[in-house]
Amino acid sequence: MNPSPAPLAESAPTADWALWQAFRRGDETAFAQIYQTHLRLLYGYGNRLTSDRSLVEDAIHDVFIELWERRAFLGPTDSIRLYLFKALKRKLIRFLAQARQTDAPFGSEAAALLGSVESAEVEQIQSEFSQHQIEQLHRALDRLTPHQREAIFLRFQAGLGYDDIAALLAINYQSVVNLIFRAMRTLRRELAAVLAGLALTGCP
Amino acid sequence: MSRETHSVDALLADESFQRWVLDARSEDAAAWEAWLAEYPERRPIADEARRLLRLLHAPVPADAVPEARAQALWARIDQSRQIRSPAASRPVVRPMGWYARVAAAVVALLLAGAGIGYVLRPDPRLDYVTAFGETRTLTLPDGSRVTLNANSRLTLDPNWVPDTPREVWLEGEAYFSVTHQRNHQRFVVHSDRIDVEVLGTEFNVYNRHRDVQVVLEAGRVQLAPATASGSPSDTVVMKPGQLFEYRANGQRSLGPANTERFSAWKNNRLLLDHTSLAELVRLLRENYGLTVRVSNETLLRQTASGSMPLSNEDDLLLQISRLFSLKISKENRLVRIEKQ
Repeated sequence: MNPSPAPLAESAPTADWALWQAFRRGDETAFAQIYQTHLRLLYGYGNRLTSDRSLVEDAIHDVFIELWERRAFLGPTDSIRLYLFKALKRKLIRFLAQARQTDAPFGSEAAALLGSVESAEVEQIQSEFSQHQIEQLHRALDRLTPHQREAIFLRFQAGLGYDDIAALLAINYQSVVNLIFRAMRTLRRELAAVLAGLALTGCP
Repeated sequence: MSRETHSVDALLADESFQRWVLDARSEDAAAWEAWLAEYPERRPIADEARRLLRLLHAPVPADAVPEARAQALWARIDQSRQIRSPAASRPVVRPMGWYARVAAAVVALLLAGAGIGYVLRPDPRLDYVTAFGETRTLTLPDGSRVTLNANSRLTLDPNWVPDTPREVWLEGEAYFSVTHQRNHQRFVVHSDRIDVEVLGTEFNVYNRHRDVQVVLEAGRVQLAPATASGSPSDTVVMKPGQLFEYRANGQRSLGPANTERFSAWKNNRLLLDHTSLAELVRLLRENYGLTVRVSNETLLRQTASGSMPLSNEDDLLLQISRLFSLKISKENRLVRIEKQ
């Protein structure tokens, strides 16, 4: 059920296009496929926007209902991912405002992921990095500003291009470049030891 | 971002570099591998950057969704769907603003063009692709003609019917000569940032690297942002003789232009009108896939005017060297430009 990590390709026009066309025509299998393909990343995005997991699920539920109901009126798109992320963010921000939650979106990488209590049930994802290295990464990510953290997530976990990230963060393209640039500077500093270790173990 | 970047952080922030490291796509690979071959002393930096990017891209175990949870949520969604629309109804086909659905129909017209390179996919979609240095002219189901410039792709669902707009998707550059239909059927060219809607007209669309240029020679076109969230006030109506530009940084401009300059390529001519060397270098990169190295950045600002036939790349390089009085040499896909 958990597909392999999203390829970094900003849009996979072939796969997305066919799926989207079919879905717009009311194909329920295509609709289910869209859910399957994007669920993990939507959860990832949601969990970083708020630590309230049930709120995230409610928002995802609403996003898909709205998606289905509006399917005939949606434009052709090569990036279903961007559409879904935009919708999810919009809903979650609204929910958070209504519930007057004090969660800061992308406030902390560690906090977002500590909430995962079901890890025992989850099949271990094969990773080329050790538990320790990943923990160090999350600690390093917490040294970034929330915007930088969000941009890093959207680029490297969600595979969105800078254009799409600009749209989601409501900033311009150059600002995204700057965000990533500054984030990289901080990350390299914080992760110097980990990166050196990786060099020694022959990580290509 | 230029490949001459040497700072690690700039590399890390470069989308193209990121794609090369994290994605099997070869589009970026060739250029970066050439860069690495050119600057082997950069290898340690590239390796360090690669390690960090791989670490950032690695799936986060805590993000995994337990199967039971995923299925429960889907069941909830499915149930809500049934409750809200009990009758399994087909969506109403209706153009809304710039968007519409292309319905199914029979097509044989495009399949007849055996000499033209195309790919027919089972999910009826036609891709016309040109390589570097190649241009092609094709005819669409409604008789419209499109000349596709080098390194470009035109995509369409070939099942066109009279009651929904004719739609094509463009990456790269193409010149369109669109037939007017008696029922005023709209024709829409989608690029990744804007949609060009036309009504029997001739125009050129340039859509590369997030820069979009539309030049109108005859007729009328209406431009709209490609996303559903664009408001009506974002639309632009163009008149003949105008150039619309939409830069990567979001800047837009509309003004008069020498339209011939932008579409001369379809007649295999290059029309220069105070055109800078920088622009020609861009042409060499985008349309011929060459890597260009200039000895001195100031050379790029030189301009020239005139007209030349646009045949093969070697001839083009010769013409450029004559026009700008420069020394140009080529080895494999690497071109060097310097003062004479």
